[in-house]
Order: sequence, then structure tokens, then C-alpha cells
Amino acid sequence: MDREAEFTAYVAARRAKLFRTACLLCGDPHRAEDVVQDTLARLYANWARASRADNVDGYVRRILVNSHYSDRRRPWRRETVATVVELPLKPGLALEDADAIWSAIRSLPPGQRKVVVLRFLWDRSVEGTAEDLGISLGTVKSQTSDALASLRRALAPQFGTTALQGEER
Amino acid sequence: MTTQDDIITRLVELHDHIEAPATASRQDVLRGERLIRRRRTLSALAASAAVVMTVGIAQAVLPDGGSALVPAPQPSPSLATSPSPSTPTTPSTTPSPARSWASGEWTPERIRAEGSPGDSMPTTESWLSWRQYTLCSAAQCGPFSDGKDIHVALEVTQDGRSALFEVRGGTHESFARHFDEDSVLVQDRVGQGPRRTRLVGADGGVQELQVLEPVPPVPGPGVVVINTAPAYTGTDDVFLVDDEAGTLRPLDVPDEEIREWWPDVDEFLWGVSYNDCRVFWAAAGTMMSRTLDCQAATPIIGLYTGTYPAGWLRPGRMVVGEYRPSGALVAVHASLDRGATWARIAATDEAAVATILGQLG
Repeated sequence: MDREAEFTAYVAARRAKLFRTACLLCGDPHRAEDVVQDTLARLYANWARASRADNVDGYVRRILVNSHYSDRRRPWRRETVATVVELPLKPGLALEDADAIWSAIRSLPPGQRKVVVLRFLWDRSVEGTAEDLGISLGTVKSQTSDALASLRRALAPQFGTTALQGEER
Repeated sequence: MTTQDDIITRLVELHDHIEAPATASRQDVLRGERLIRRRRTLSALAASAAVVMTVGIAQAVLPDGGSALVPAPQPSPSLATSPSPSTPTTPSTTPSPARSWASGEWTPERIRAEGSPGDSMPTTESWLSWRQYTLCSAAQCGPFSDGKDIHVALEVTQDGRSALFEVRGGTHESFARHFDEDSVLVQDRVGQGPRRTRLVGADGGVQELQVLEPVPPVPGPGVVVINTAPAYTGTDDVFLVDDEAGTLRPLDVPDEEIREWWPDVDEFLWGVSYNDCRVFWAAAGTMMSRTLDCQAATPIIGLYTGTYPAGWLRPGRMVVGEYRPSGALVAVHASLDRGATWARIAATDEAAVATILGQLG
């Protein structure tokens, strides 16, 4: 199969997941689409290298996280939690619940958000997350703990203090 | 279900319910093709410049204009390349039993083997990353120990290759930052000489930049901030790097007065002073300044790095935070018109600043 065919097959299988993840990383579906487009353009340009790496998903994950990182380094494009950005949702999730979770994830600082996405949505280990983000194991652990504590506080009013109350680690 | 599990389950639920837009894969292919064409154009321009330079040197050296080959530069004795089979590797931090070093021989290989690794800097989309190793050879090292006591090596890794470089002057005198897709800018000091600035790559390539006279302060490609003493004074300086010409030019700015630069120096140059409430910005190749209407007792100002409304910040806009010595925010000073007019807005709650800025326009 040539590059275009291999790449197209990969994109067909993964694009939706990349977009969903980018939404949570960016806190903004419009920016998420930009980041995914940028990521996939870079993947295509580096396809020979990526497909040799025997872990295209890992390669893409790194590009995606670092595309987001590059974007964040430009404060002109700094995101905000002050503007409500609606998330396109499929049916099946109560709107109030979705709003509460969306607001909670958007209220996290970008570093914590990246750690949460890598650890719990991409199932990366502490070591793998540290490697992907170029940070220490201790930073991954502390950011995970802080993020979970913040999410717990933010989600308690919507989902009840009993269900979400716990010892902050 | 534990609390943590419950939170994660809700995150996963939200993630799985996000509706992704329908986009034809062909569009992604076309964007990739455009990126490849852009890179090829840049490579061709760089290669043309290199050929012109090589031919020029050969013709200058050979009086008959003959066709003798120009020898390839030999690698520096301090440089070691270590090919890796597939992915970037984290080198071992334990000394190899098969290798011993003479006392007082502080090679990069030894520093890597016996020293402490720093954090690996974030990998770029081109898989470039770097890591510093430090080794203390004195009984004790402190933050102001110099290069005689602290020895530093820099390892650059990309695409399965890695190269190790000497860094002189200890941690106090050295600085490294990402420069472009394939190189890291590293600055250090050899002995008592002037600072040395190099672009280094994972292929072992080293380009030492020649320092030329200052240039007018104009933002653009190649303008970088270098923290000349990162851990201690926090002094930032701005330079223009021309990697094709191999030159480094300081920007003609009042460095001694400006403490902190807004990071996007390639788009708009502006920064703030140490403690006298002044803001500086570049306009038409010169630096302008203004003393802000600070009202806090012994105010401290800094770039405002809190939350901004979406799309609000763009080149030409500046926002400065006015703080008490305790760090509490007192007000923000904002200009929306490249410094022509400024507004001071009292604000003690950072959460309200984005709304206030949004109301400004």
C-alpha cells in the first residue's frame, strides 16, 4: 500500500478519537479541529518515519500533545475559560451532566489537563506520561493528584457530595 | 465504585459522546502534501545557499579553480554520536565498567555516565529532544559553583540518533533552548572569554554563531529570547539568529532595564522593567517606553499571564499586571493600540480580569 492509502486508512480509523481527545486538551472544539488538522498534516509529512516506528498511535499522540503545546506557547492564542464554548455531543448523555464535566475539565490548568488525558483517556502509565510530556515522574503524580482533587470539587455540586467525596490524595 | 473511578468514568463518558465532524481524509492528505512542499522549498533554499558558499570557498582556495574536493569537517573531539536502532533512548546513568577516565578528564561521555540527568525537554513534532547532564567534581556544589566544579554535557536526540556535546562554564553560565525542527541553541562560556552560542543537532552537527553588531528591534523569524543566567538573575536578552549566515545579533534594546519579555518576540516585541513601573515596546525599529500609572505602594509589575478572552490577545495589545510585593494583584494596565493609549483597571480578582478585558474591546 502506498503512503496515501495507508495514511487514509489510519485517519479513517482514528480521526474521531483524535478530535475528541483534542477537545479535552484544548477546551475548545474549534481549536481542537485546528490541532487535529495540524497533527495529521505533520503525520502525513512524516509518514515514512512514523510507520517505521512501529507505534503510529504513540507517534501521533506525541505530535498531538506537542502541537497543542506549540499552540499554547503562543499567548495570542491563549485559551479562556471566560467564554462558553459549546461542545458538539451525541445523544445519550444528560446535558446538565455534560456541561458540568466540560466546565470542570476546562477549568484545569493545561498541564493538569494533559496529564489527565494521557493517563485516563489514553491509558498511559505514569512513566509513559512523563516521557510523552518531557516532565518528571513526580510532576506527573502531583499534577494527577491536583487534577483529580479539582475535578472532585468541581463535580460534587452536580453529582452529589456523597458520590464524589473522598480523601484528596 | 471509588471516587477516582467515578470521576474517570464521567470523563470517559463525556469523551465518548463528543461528536467529531465529518471530514474527508483527502483533505488531510492535501494538507500533508502542502506541508511537504513547504519543507522542500525551505530545504532547497538552504541547500542552494550551502552550495554557493562551498563553491565560493573552493574557488577562493584553489587558484586554478580546480575541482579538488572540499574535505568534510572533522567532528569535534568532544562530540560522540551513538546511533540508536529505533526510538530515542534514555541513556544509562551508570558508568560503563569497560570504560574508565583519567582523573580530571571531564568528557561529555563521562559526565553522562557518572552525572545526574536533568529532565528531557519536550519532544517537538520532529521528535527532537534534549537533556542536560551535570556532574559535581568538588566535595559539594552549590548554585554558584562554576565550571571548575560543575561539569555539563548536552545530549540531543532525534529520530533514533543522538549526539553528545560539551557545555562549558557550569550550569550558571549555560543555557539551552529549542531553536527549530532540527536544532537546539546552546549558549555557554569557555574560560573567561565571551559567551559562545551554537546550534547543535542530533546528527552531531555544530554551527557556532558569530556575534555581530546589534540590529534595530524588529520582531520576526529568528528572534529569540535567551536567558543569560537562567536560575539566578532571570535576565532575559533578545537576539536575532540567522542560521543560514551563522550569525547572532543582539537586538538594540535597553536590556539592563527590561526584566521580562513577552514570549512571542517573533510577532511583537514588548516587555516590562524591573521595579519602576515601565513598559517597553518596539515600534518602527526603535524601542518606546512609558511609565505606567501605578498606584500601589512599592508596586511590582509583570506580564499579565492570567486568562484572556478567546481571540482577544493579538500582536499590538499589551496587558501588564500591577502587584503588591506580596504578589496580590492590584490592577491591570492595558493598551489595545500598540501603546498609543493605556488604561488602568483596578482588579484584585484575577477571575474577573478576562471579563474586564473583554469589555475594553
